[in-house]
Amino acid sequence: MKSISRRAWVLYLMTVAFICGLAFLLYTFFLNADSWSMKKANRHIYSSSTLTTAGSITDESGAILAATVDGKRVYNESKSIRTATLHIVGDSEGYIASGVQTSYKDVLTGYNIFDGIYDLKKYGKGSDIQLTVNAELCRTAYEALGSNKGTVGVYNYKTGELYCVVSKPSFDIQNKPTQSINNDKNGEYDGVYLNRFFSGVYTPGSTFKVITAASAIDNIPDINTRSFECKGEYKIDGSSVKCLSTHYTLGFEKALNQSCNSAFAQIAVELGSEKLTQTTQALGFGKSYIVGNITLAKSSFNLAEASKLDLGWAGIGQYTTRVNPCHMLMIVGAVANGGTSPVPYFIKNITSPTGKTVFKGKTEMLDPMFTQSTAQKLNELLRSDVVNNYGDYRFKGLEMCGKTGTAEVSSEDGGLRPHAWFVGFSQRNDLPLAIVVVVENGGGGSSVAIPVANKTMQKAEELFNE
Amino acid sequence: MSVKNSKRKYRYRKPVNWTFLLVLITAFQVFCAGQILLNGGEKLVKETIYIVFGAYILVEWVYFLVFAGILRRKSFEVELIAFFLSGISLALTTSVYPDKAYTQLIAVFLGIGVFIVLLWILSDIDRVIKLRIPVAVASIAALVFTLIFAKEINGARNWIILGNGLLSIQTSELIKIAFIFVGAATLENLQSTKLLTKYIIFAVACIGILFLMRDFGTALIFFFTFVIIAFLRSGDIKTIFLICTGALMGGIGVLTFKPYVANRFASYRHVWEFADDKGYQQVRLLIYSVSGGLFGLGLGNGKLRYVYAATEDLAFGMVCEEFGMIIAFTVLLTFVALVVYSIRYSVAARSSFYAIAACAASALLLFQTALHVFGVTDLLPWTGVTLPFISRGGSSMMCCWGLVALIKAIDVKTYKRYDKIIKD
Amino acid sequence: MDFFLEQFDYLVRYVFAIIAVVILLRCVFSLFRSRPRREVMAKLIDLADDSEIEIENWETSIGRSRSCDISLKNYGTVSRFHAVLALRKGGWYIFDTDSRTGVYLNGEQIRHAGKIFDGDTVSFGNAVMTFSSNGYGAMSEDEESSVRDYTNAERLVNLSDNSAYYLSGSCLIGKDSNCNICLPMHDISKEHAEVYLTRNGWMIADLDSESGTYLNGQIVIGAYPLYDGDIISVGEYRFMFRE
Repeated sequence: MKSISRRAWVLYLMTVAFICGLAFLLYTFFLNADSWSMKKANRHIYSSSTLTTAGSITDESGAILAATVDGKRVYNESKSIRTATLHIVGDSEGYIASGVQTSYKDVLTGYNIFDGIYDLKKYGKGSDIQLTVNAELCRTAYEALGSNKGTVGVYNYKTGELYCVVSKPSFDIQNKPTQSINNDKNGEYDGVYLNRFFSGVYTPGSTFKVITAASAIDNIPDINTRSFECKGEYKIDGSSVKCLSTHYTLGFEKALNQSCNSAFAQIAVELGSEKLTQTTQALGFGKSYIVGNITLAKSSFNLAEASKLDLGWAGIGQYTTRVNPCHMLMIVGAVANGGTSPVPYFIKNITSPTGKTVFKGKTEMLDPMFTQSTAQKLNELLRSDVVNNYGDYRFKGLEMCGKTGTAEVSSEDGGLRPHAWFVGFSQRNDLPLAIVVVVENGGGGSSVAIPVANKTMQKAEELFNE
Repeated sequence: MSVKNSKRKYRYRKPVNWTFLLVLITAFQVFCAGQILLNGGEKLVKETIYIVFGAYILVEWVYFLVFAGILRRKSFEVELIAFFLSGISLALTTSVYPDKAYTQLIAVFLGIGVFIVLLWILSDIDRVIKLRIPVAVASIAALVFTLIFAKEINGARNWIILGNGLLSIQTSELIKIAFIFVGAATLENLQSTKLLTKYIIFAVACIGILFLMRDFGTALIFFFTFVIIAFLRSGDIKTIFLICTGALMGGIGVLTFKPYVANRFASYRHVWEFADDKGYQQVRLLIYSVSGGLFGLGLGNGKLRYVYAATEDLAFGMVCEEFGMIIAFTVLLTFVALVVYSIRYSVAARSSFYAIAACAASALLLFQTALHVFGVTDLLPWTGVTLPFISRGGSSMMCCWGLVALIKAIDVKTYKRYDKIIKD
Repeated sequence: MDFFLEQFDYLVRYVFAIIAVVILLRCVFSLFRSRPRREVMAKLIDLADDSEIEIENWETSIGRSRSCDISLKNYGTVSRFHAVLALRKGGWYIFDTDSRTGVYLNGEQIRHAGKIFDGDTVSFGNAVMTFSSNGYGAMSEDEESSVRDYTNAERLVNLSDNSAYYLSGSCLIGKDSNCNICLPMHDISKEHAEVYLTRNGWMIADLDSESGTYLNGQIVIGAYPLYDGDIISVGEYRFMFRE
């Protein structure tokens, strides 16, 4: 008997193995519950691979952007609004990963590991989501982009509410041009499933001069009294950084107003890569920001292998520098808001099927990007950009501050046209909005991006003061 | 006194009170019936539910009144577990296939019958020893009979269908009990026949016939049980190791020379890539298991039930989706408890026969559970074996009750009637 | 009505989980509550050196091999696996398991099996022993169990009046009024004995009492494990331990 009961201990190995297996199984269940339950084969939620049973999505004013009616998913009745809000609302098949319908799928269907899909069974839908985005404003911004690709984002730099998120190209979700998208030869639908505002990165061009200027204000004490020489180019080590025109002698403020490449290349070289990198790090380059539950594409600024010439180019937003539009918006927001930007958010509130508000979008502040004095100085500089260079009449009554950018994306002549940028904000107390506009291959920032920004901001003013 | 200082006290655990637990089990089953009534579709016949659950609850109470009230038996934990699990199986069957509810009910009753009869047989070790050879011969005969006359269902020839489909028996399930019954032996028997030869011949015959039937899942379970029994009997690690290596080589050989067998496992660890063909059932199981959450959607609210063989091959998923993960995982842990129980009691068994039989039976149950659960969730290759007690199927239900009888027989208290009513 | 049905459907899910967990865990814990009974069921007394070999199993293997329950290493004439002593329905049996030198019961060689009684002499090769059963194997296991018994909770039953004290935690027996079982008799110490729970089950310890505590007629020195049916004698009182 002794020997048999001793041998029986071998079975303990088996039970241990089994329990380990169970623990692993439970772990995989918990780990994958969200993604598995949202698979298209789940007929609780999908029928023929289309999301059918989910809560509704409304915009800031309460207009319905997406809802489930009689077991079918329906969207806003206006085609232009459907198209303009496509990327923020998302599609029902999950191609647009950062869309609310995909990234907040578990909220909309009411799934949680605790109760499973039970609420969905009980109420026929999950929670409803109200966005901070205004559909009308999105439509205006989308139309303002005209035939170009690009993105427009507007947010309240005091609270962080995203007021407008538009990404182009887009399509009408109720008549999805599947054929054209799949057989897209001329690039008409290039990156159509990408929300450029959250997930795109672009060469910043001259808009980066705001950052170089910030670094200069912090690190060069007599920067305001300096003068710079511009001969149409700035020579470094036998090569040169080209300027768009010859500005002769000019001061710091003027250099930013005129967007003088020679002056800013010179400032960048003087600052050196260490100081410049320090500033960009403080501004969050290389960091993953999280907006709602979307992780923004990382902005990058890397001078590790840069020559002096590269440093000069980097100072005016060329070289390998890439910026995410939403991140750029946060940076100008920080300038407008005394050095600190709120975290942008787009979920205004979430209402459970029982009518209870289970989540409310809140203002949260990021770590300070600039010191208050630097922000104040930049604020003045950006205002003088508009007043002295672009012309205040181009933003009628908005008291805009801002900086344009023309980001070269092709080194050869006759290559792709540059990206047109505008970043800026209104100084008006009753209109605390900041805006970023990127027009892909649109041409000059001043000529292309400013009209888009103006149209959007005018509409925003009209809506905001209602 | 030193003893006093060294003693450590432990928390007192109360013994199980069968009336209280039986009331709970009854409540559980009444709730099940209520949910089926509430969520049932048009196919549902209300009378079926009343009769099935009424009869089952009645039988439970009669069983306990007879064995606890009149015969004054003790320790009913094993029966309570078996009754509870069979109840889940009955509820799932009634809900998904109302037309098969009666068959399943009869299967459970037969299982209880097997349990009682087997316990009675096991009460006398001399009777058990006399029965071993006839049982061995009978089981080989039954397997051969099945091999010749069986119907092929799902690629395995292991079904005997009698009377135009009125009665279908899966012989291999019933042979599981016989396999352990023949394999276990008393200590003097073990000592005088040191070699395993006879048992190896019997085991090879059984497993070989199962292979010919192409019932690989069951063959694997038999092989595992054989290894456990062989080890418990001889303690000879070298021989066991040789056998295992041989089997492994054989397995690899089969997979190399018969590619269609390997093809069955093509989707292993890749079910999501085969979501619409080979991995169809497994993918649905995973999706709906997590859809149920911790507490499940309630009987009748699931969607896994519309997938083929939901209550048999996917029984774990059914429990997960409709009863919730808490219940599903507690059920699985119960099988672990049975193994630990067998190990703990093996030292005090009335004979090495009981020790070996109980250890082998509980190990078999656990191994089958593991194959089912991990197979269907794609952690192990999927062999399509059933989940003990929960899966629908008459033969397997009877087999499970039989195995549980073997486990229960290990405890001396099962048979001892050590209290008499005082004569006032 | 619809409201109730809806609530039923919603709540029953949680109730389900609770009931199921209670049932299964309760059963599982109960399975491990009582330990298997292990006690000296019989004794073999080696006549060579008068040493006692205690037998605690229903089946006991005897042989020279180390894996035997009774390992007779010092006897050259004992086979590696010589014999098996087993308690069966009819009483104690000794089995010769193909040993070389045979098993002799009271001087007669047995063929395969032989029934063995109290006081019999049994020899395995040149190892000669006397057998004494410890009350096991007698056809009537009547003991003193004329006790009404419905539950299987651990308890001490006072045999004089069949009253039960249900054990939970530790239990002091003595004259003192603080004791759980208070026995105001002159021959009982203030704190006489204690029954308590350890990892190995219930134990009884004598607390240096004057008249001593007896377990199944044997005096308790230190602590002893208690098994179902054991009789504890304290002074004139007798308690039966049940589990």
